[in-house]
Amino acid sequence: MNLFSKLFFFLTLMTTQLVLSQTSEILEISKKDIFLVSCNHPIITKANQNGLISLKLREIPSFIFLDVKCKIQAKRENIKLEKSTLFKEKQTFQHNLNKKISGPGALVATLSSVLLFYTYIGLIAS
Amino acid sequence: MIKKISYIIFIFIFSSSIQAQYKISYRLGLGMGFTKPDNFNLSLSSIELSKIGSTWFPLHHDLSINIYPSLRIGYKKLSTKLLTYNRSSNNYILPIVFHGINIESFFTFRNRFEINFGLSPMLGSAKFINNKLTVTDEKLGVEGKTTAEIKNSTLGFYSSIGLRMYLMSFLSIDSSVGYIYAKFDEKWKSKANENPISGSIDMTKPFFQVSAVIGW
Repeated sequence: MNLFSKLFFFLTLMTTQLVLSQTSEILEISKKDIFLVSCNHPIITKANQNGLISLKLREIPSFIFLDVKCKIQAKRENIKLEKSTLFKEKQTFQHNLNKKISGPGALVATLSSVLLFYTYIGLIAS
Repeated sequence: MIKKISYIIFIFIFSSSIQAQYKISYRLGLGMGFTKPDNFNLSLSSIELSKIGSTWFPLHHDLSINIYPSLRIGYKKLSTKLLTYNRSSNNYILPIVFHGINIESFFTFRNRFEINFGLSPMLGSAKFINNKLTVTDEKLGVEGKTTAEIKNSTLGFYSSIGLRMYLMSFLSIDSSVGYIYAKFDEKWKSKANENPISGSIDMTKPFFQVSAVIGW
């Protein structure tokens, strides 16, 4: 064997080993992080950091899908997730936000109630 | 025209720069309303058909999006097309449908309650229809189904005040008291130029509804 073929043989072996080691590494990482793919998705992270209020309309279906997927994967991997308070926080926020009517909401409420009041008064009177 | 308006509303909703959370909700329920079909019933009597009742029970559904704090806008439909239509004799039925834009404002109180005020300009349509007619071709002995119908349409308006109770973060029940302002006039249209039915149906009566709401 000349020097060139020895070098070629050595390089081939090294490359194969390198590729194999990298593949197994990737496999290990992906096994560990399957669960993290949906639970750490940017939309989930955004909701966790800024609350459900921060989600845009088009992000809501993705959030629901990823949230369910995250829970299913966590169950498969026997990982206990912390109980999410996102929904409760959102509900509390909106409840507090909507305690008062203002702007166009007040206009609609006034129109509707005045209209109904006079209609029913007329109905009773007639 | 309606398509254009709905397209404009769609664009407005989705390109709006309002920072409030868009809350989507879908409401499904049953309503109860009253009518005054005296003139229409007179027409029916003249062609020996039985009278229709003066109560209607429409299935009601609407899809709303929260576009501003304490204000939501959506599409609303009241319909007796499915199952709950009023019946006359000889398989004649009277399905009534109202659909239109629903504007609703609301405020919350206690922990789980909400009071809402709704305004809905609506487009109404009524059909007096028999879809169980059969036609037989005597030469070939073949039977086929056909439909006889006359229709009427009107513009209506619905206003309501309701109470909603949140059972879970995504589920609530809703009931409301309202009033419908609409009247189907005497002109019933059919494919033939003339038809024997010409009575009006006055829908301007109180309206009640109970429904379940799922939302985000």
